[in-house]
Formats: sequence, structure tokens, C-alpha cells
Amino acid sequence: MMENSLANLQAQFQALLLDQSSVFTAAVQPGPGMGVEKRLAIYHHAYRARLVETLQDSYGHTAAYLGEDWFEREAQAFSVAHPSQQPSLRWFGQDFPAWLAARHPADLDIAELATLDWALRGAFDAADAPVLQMSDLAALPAEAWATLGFVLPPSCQRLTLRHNTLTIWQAIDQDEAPPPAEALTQDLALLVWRRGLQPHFRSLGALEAAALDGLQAGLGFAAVCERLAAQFPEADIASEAGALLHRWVEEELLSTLRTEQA
Amino acid sequence: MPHDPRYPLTAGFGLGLRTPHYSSFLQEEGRPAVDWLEIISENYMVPGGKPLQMLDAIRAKYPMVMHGVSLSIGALAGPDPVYLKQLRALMGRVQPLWVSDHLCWTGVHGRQMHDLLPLPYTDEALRLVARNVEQVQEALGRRLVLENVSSYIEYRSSAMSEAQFLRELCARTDCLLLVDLNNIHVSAVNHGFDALAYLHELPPERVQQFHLAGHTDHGDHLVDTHDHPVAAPVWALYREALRRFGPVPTMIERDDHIPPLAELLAELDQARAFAESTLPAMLRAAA
Repeated sequence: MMENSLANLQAQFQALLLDQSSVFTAAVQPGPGMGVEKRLAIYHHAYRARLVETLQDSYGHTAAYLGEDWFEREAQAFSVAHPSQQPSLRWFGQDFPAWLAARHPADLDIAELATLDWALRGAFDAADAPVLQMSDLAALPAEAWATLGFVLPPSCQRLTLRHNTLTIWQAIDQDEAPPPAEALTQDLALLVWRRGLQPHFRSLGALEAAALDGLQAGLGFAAVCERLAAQFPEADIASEAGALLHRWVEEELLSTLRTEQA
Repeated sequence: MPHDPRYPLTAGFGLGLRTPHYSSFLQEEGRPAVDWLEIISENYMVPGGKPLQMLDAIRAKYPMVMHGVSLSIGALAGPDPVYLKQLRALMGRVQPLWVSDHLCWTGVHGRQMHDLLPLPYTDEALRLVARNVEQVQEALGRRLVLENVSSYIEYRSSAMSEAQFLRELCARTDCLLLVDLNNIHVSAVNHGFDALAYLHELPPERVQQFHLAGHTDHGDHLVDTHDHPVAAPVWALYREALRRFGPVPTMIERDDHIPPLAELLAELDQARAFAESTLPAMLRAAA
């Protein structure tokens, strides 16, 4: 490759930004006022500053939890290790929670908080979808229920928390000091979705979590109820399922109807 | 009268649409007096939710222009077909007056630096950028508008000035120019060239839009932060640009430390006042 070819200049400039071995300095014309090193430092700094700001924006609660200096160190290291591969900054940082988990395996509450931040960010601008109304259900003939299924909105995500991440998130959200991180004795099922234009989340009981997982896996409502009856023999499934349906419609958690193939 | 390839220049004074000002642009009464709004295209390349709902609602009230930051017209690999598809989809939604991006590259080898990195102004780069502009114009079915970026380095290998490069690019591809007067000033100070001479090298019939913005003065250099009011030397350059290019659609661009809308509207009024005082003088002189 020619030393001054465009391909070479761009590769060398990018390597310099990413702290890789680079001879780009030699390609820069000395100018008035400041030296070449200082000129390049402006780009070097701008790359990090922009991406750190993007991560602060997408991971606001994680940033508050770690504090400014610690978060900035993590964000800078991530930006150099995982350069963006998408034209839009919106998707930069998708791998940040997994990266934090690998970097801080003894403090997985950090990665879990980041996962929650990212899920809420995802719910914010997930694809739009129709919202099922109670009148849609009321209009159904009784025989339809045997093969009826529900499509959940694209914003719907299920998380499993193993730490008191929810309490930490809520404390930070209220500008209060978060409690010390601790592992939960039992996993917490969490649902994230968008209601209107606003991202929401709430915890799920075991029965509701199983029901939603069944729907998300594509099971019809009758099949979900059958499965619940086997899984929760003590529960009154007919009344539980009726109550859940009401709540889901109320909370804009059901998008459209689907008919199972008989 | 030479052929004027520009999009209609009737829409005069605009602002960049930023999220803190959404509600002001949506109010029913006393809506801000701007002729058009410029959106950052990438901000609306999302699946759904509030950004697109706000975009549609505000678009119903204002004409818009689309301004991108990730086209990477200087990319060796050529324009990214996925990105062009998203851009086309957004154009279909917004029906913009025109579509712009920057004369720069933003990353190689599948990486995005998310910065507007300068190109060497060589024959090789000119051939490459011209090829890319033609591909983009073909894909979008319309003429592309390209903006000069502010820069902190120049390449030893550059064989022409940035203005000469832009002029030649316009001639080869029929593209148009978004002249950012702050960026010219910032680069002129950082590289020690004459901003007025730069203006005079640009082809007047290609100038589609002006950006006015602020910068940060670090003593021995300027950084294009777009987070300050327009500085006095940039206003002076604007008046000179009006004299040279005539009534070109003008916009205040603020990207950070977004102030209340009233402050930006006042700044836009200042641009209007300069245009009104400069252009009649120019017309009288021509008469």
C-alpha cells in the first residue's frame, strides 16, 4: 500500500484514535499555533468524550451508581475495546453490560443495572404496535378462545435479576443513596415494555412470568392455561388467567390477536 | 443567466430541531417563527416510539431539511447500502427540502469513529469522493448537499485547498454545498488560512445552505463545539457570505448546552437583521 494512499492514511488515523500502533503523525502537516501532537490529541480526546457521553446517556443509572470517575474509566476503556460498528450512535454500547459483567465478575450487580438501563432504552424507541382493547376481546365468539393467541408488543422484554438491582435502580431514580448490593435468595422476574410513549418495568410473580413466557414462545392462550394448571396445581387458573388478561390489556401489554393452527 | 441547480431558496431561516424544544414547536398558539427545521437524520433512524412520533407531529407543522453525520462520503468502501436504505426510508417519511451530510470520513474497516474526520485534498480523494457522491445521488434520486467540516489537522499530501476540492467536486458531480461559516473560521484560525479567500473560492451557484454556530477558544486554537452563541468573526463572515452568495437559507446550529428556544430565536433574528441590512445594499449596488 502506498504510504500516502487514502487507505493508508485513514487506517493510520483510525489506529491512532484507538490507541493502536500508528505512524499517522508523520502524515500531518505542521501548522501555526500548536504542534502536531496537540492537534491529534484533539481528535483522540473527542472520540472518547463523545462515546462516554453517549454511554452516560444510555446508561444513566449505571453512571450514577458507579460515580463520574469510575464510569468514565469504564466507558473510555469500552469505547477503545469495542468501537462502534453502526452508523447511528443509538446502538453504541449494546455490548456494554456483557463487557461490564466480564470485567467485574464479582460485582454482577453493575452489569445487571446496565442491562436494565439498556432494556429501558430499548423499550423507549422499539417498533410501534397496535394495542389490544378490552372491546376486541369482548367481540370474540366463545369458540375463538380455544385457538386464540396474543402477540406481545416489540418493546416487551423479560429480564431475570439475581441481585437487588431493582431497589438500587429505584433509589438512584429518586436521587437517594442506593443500598449495598446483595444477591437475592430467589431470582426476580422483571418485565420491561413501553406504555404509550413511556418505558415501564415491573416485577412478575412466578405464575405471570410463566404465562408471559408461554405467550412469547408462541403458545395459544388455552395452551398457556393448560401448562399453568400443570405447573401450579394449587392455583385457580381460570380466575388467575382472567385477572391477568384484564391487567395486561389495561397495561397495554397485548398487541394483537393470533389464531393457533388447530 | 447561468443555470442555477439549487433547490428553491425561498425558505429563509431555520433552526436545528433538538429534543428540549419539541413542545415549543408543537404548541398551537405562538408557534416559533422559523421557516424550516433541520433534523439530524440518525436521531430518527430508530424503530418507533417517541422520536418518530414527535418527528411526524412537528413535520406536520414545519418544512424540514435532513442533515446526516454518518454517510462517510470519503469511505474507500463506498456508501453503506444499509445506511442508504435507512436514509431513503426517512426521506420518504420526512419529504425534506434537501438532504445534507459532511465532506469527511467517519471510519474504516467496519468501524465508526462517530467523528467528522478530514480528508486529504488529493486527486485520489477527489476521484473517490466524486464516485461516492454519484452513487449516493443515484441511490437517493436527488442532489446531495455537502458541508465543510472544521478540522485540526491538514495532511502533508494535500495538493489543493478544501475550497478548491469542494469546487471541483461540485463541478464533477453536480452536488451542492452547505457552507458552515463557523467551521471555515475555526479551520482558518487552526491552519492559518484566509477565511475570506476560502469563501471566494466556492462556486456561488452551488451554495444551498449556511450553518451558523459557536466554538470554544483555547487560545492557540479553536474547537468547534457548537455549544456557544455565534462569535463576532463568524457574523462578519456571514455578512461577507451574504454579499457573495445572496439570500441563502440560513440556520443556527447548536448541538450542546442547548439554551432555551428564545435565545436561539433571538440569534436567528440577528441573522435575519444582517441579511436584511446586507442584501438590499447588495441589490442597490447591483442596480
